[in-house]
Amino acid sequence: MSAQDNNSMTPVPALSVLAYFGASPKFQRVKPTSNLVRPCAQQLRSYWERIGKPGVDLTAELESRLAALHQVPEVVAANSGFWMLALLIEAARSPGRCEVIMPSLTYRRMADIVSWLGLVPHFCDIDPQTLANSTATVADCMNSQTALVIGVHPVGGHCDIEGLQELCRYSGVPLIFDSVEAVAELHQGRVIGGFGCAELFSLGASKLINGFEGGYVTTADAALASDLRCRVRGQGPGRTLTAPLPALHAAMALAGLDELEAQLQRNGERFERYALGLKSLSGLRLVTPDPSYRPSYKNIVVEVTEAWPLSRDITVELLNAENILARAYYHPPLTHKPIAYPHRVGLLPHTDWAATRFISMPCGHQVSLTDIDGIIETLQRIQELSYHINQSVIIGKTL
Amino acid sequence: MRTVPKTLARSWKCGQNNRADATRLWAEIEGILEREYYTESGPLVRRLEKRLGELLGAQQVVCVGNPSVAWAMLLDASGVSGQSVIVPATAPRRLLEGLAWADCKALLCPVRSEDGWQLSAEQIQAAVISDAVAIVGVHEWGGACDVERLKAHAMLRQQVLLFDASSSLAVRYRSGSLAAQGEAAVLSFDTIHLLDAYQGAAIVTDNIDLADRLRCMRSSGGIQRRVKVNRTVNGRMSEAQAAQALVLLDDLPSLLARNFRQFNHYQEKLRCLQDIVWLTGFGVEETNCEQAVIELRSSDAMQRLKALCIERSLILPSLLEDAVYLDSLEVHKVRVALQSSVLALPLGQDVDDDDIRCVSEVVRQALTC
Repeated sequence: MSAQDNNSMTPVPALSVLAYFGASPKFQRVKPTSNLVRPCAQQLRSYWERIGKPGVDLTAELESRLAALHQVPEVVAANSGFWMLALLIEAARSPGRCEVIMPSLTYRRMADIVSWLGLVPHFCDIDPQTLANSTATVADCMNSQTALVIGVHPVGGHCDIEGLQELCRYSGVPLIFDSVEAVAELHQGRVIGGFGCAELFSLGASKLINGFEGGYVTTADAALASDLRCRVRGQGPGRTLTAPLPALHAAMALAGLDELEAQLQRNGERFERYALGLKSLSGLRLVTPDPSYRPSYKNIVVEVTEAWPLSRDITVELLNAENILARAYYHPPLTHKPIAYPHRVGLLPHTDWAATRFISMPCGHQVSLTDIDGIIETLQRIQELSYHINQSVIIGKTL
Repeated sequence: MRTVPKTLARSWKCGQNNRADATRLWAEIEGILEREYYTESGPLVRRLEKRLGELLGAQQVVCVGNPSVAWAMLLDASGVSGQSVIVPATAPRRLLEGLAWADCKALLCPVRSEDGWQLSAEQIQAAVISDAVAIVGVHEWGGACDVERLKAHAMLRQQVLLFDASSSLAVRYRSGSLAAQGEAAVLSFDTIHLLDAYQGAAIVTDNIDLADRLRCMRSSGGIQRRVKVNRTVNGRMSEAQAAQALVLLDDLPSLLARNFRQFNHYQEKLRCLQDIVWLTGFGVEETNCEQAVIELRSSDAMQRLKALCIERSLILPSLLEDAVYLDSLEVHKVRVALQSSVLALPLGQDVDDDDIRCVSEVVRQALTC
């Protein structure tokens, strides 16, 4: 709701330069946070034209290329990352146990995936430095019912891979990673993809590799890979989902893979542009990945510190009005909204702390360097006008 | 005319195997790239939902990326999750998977020859299946299960009545669309069916509350009214899937005409055979001839066909693949009966007149010798 929707309010004149208070938005076309990378049409066509030809299996070709990218022997692709994760949890978990440890500050549907399996999400806290679940936070939740642990690499960082591997090895609990945000990245010199029992990646349109829709698992475990392939083909025993990756989706992903290096380069340039611009703004800290990760910069996140004069949510609303579709980072945490199915949760102080501090900034294919300059300008303007924003009578009633 | 070999020298992939016109499909794909809108209830998905609604006479259409997911969503949104559901013994794998994900117990009901092997209320009553909160009827082979009696049965027992209408595109029933019967129906857009949307599906219903729940479960996009749901999925159909389906929809009249022509060709060639029954289009005014399915009345006919090496792929392959789901003796008997008496003749994009002549000749030889 904008200020203009409330007729009884009179905005301070200085605020009228902001779209929330009646001005035209900074951008005519929305600037999203989703990657939405667009492949070269010719490249896509070259794959598309091969569909249906004798001996052509684009999904197998994609799996082979992804195996090389992640330096793993096995890749299994399906039509959905959501359902691929569900099948992976089902295939990897310890039988006879029902809890799956996962963070609360994560992908909004992750707990639903666990629920569809008839299992119980057990939410753990995050480490405030990495924003990921850690050895300590996972250990706090482990019990005799722990069937599996999901380590989640958040935007801009990695969870404690070594610590979690050691903890799970000691406890005899299977460990998988949700590595959707860590495609093509390194961890201690090794490509993300070969850690834990297996790792999950997405081929959704908002992800680094755009395959329209889809997901894939990487693993060194041939038996696990074989199990997953059967499930994706609808072959039992056990829970299955007939969900092969459509050939056109594979074609799209392959075309994207061909340009991955160029995309990473452009993402890096966007990140550097934000880094430069944010130097002029006190109170917004750019979350900077460890360079040794070889980060993809697919997402760009800033932390709203105490030095910033407005709350995270007010800032996001003001930006959205300008067609700058910044998003509150993983908002709300899963434990901050009603959950209709069985789950376990204790105290999550760092999750609660992080829940109001981080913003995902527009980036990806539809955001140019000039756009980023415009976003920085808007933030500067918001900062300059923050006193009036805070003082405005509208604040108490609309924002 | 080719010399008809004693055995068939080739096999056919079961089903329609319709392929979208390459030029038009690429034009749609270029449009997707131009708009940079790849999924999340995009313009092509919305267009497909509108066209399917008009074609099927359904007020609400929710397109989904996968048929098994569509079933899981529909069962959950209908309040049936975790409970028992009556399904025919011939329930397709997509439906069985959806039931498993929704934690439903599938109560498999026998089907019989006199009902065209379609689910009937009489068989449900005979099976004395209690404790079910829902029935899923499967419309087989361009025909219909016992719709009116199933409706009456379900209403009396306050059971939710759903249908698998995957074979029902363009099928007319009582002057309306067969797919629009019951509380809701799922149409799978697999390659065996008229419309191939790279494994997509559609849920059709006139119940707007149900449709709103489905949209809120499916994804963030395409929500018309926000309602409470217990859990969500990724049920998104991609723009690529919708593009394929839309191009094929444009060709639906010619695909139907081809199906009718091929089906009539089979009927003409097999007219002399007394002991076969055509199962295609059972119980409907107008079928889509998506499959040419016959029942062999003589007990050893299938053996004679096998002796002539008629390809196994013609013998309802889906039943063979789904066997892993079944452990009921009664259902096993039904499936054995089906496998020994029901034949799906090749029909669709990859079939020509010579193929029909060859297959018909082999069937005639087997049944008249």
